Amino acid sequence: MEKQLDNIWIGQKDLTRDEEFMKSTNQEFAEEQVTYADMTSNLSGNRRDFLKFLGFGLGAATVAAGCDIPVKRAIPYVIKPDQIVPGVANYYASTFVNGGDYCPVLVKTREGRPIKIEGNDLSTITGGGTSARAQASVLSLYDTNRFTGRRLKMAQDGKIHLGQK
Amino acid sequence: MALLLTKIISNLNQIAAAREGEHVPAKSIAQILTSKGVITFLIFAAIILGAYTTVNKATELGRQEGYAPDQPIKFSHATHAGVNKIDCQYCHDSARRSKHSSIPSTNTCMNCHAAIKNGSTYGTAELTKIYASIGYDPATNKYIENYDSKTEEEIKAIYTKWIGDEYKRVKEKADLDDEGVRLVTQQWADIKKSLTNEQKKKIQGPIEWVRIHNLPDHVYFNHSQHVTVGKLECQTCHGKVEEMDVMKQMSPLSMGWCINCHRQTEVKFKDNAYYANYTRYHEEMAAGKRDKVTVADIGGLECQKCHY
Repeated sequence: MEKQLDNIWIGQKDLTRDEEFMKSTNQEFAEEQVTYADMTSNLSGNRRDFLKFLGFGLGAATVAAGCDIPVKRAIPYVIKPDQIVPGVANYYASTFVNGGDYCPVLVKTREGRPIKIEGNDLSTITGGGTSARAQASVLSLYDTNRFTGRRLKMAQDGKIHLGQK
Repeated sequence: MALLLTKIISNLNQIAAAREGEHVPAKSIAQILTSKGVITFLIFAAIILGAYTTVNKATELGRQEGYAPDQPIKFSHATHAGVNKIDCQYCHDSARRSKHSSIPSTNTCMNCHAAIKNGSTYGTAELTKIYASIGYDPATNKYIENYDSKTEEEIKAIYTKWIGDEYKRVKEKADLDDEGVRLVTQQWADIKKSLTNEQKKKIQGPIEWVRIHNLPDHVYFNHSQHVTVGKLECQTCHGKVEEMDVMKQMSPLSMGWCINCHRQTEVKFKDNAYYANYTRYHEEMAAGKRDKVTVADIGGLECQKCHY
């Protein structure tokens, strides 16, 4: 029964070399939970039970949640603009101007949002050519610093003119 | 079957053993069932069956065959397409010219319902939802000006008055009785519930329908290719919509289902300008070497047709 190494003991029973306790320490994976008299616990289950429940709970929740298909919404226009067909891109002729650069462009839009800028083939000046800046300028259309509407300016004659700088 | 054969074999063995003079005691059923062979077989069968079911169910994840959710408006295809025989493409007009067959916008409803203000089944209950969405005053037959900036109380006043007036007109009463008041309250609550949700607080604005036919994002499908070029009936994939009160997904919309149809379906090749440049097939058909061209023949099974 000499189990205490270097006089190291855990708990009162180990110190007093309680016979029953010493017997139980021989079984490493004891069926009955080894209880320490001076350790009180409010939990009814032990760590293994907890892990079992945790694992089962997580697994069950994953399976239950994974089988549920989220509700998808289809939201049509209230008043659909005539020229827009959902799923078909519209092309608008426009002009790219940046400093001294100029380029006639075609803007591809889906449901009113520009997604691609290409050169306008019909232009006799550029014949559909673009530059990297013109191609990339589609991003600037989503710049939050852009004006969201027309500017108002009081002209010399004291009247307000819309759409003029 | 297997059990029967095993039983026959064991019986024959027993007879053979008896002839040779040996005495073999007959095994009881309990002994047979708990024998090593039977238990091994049962475990093996259970594993195979389990794996088969798991794979099948996993393949079906995300499929919604038979999906028929409640919609914000109790729109009946049976009434519109069945009884009144409105062409599918009158409302779903983008099916012939776009990849989407989109849900019609509210102004499409108004083409008819500016005049038809009482539904055949639900009276004012469902139709008023359209008016509340777009801002149409059915009492004056005019669109309400600045509808978007109206408060909920103002909207409520307009439409509860309309529902109440219609109730009085139909029941031929001068005043709203208790049932009428109850009806108005209930219909207004229903309108508010249908047109608003957590993201959309205002009554005004689009009707948020529940999307039924969903394809995964990695699938390209084009309605116009099937409707305009292929000249398919809508019912081929969507079933008898004209008989459905509540819209329901008829087809599994699985890849196997697509592929199967592409294998079997004969392309409407004759007098179809879209397929005019398939000269070899046209020549073979003219020479009588080929009686039909399926979708598979013109590349309908190639992965990149739908996944790219």
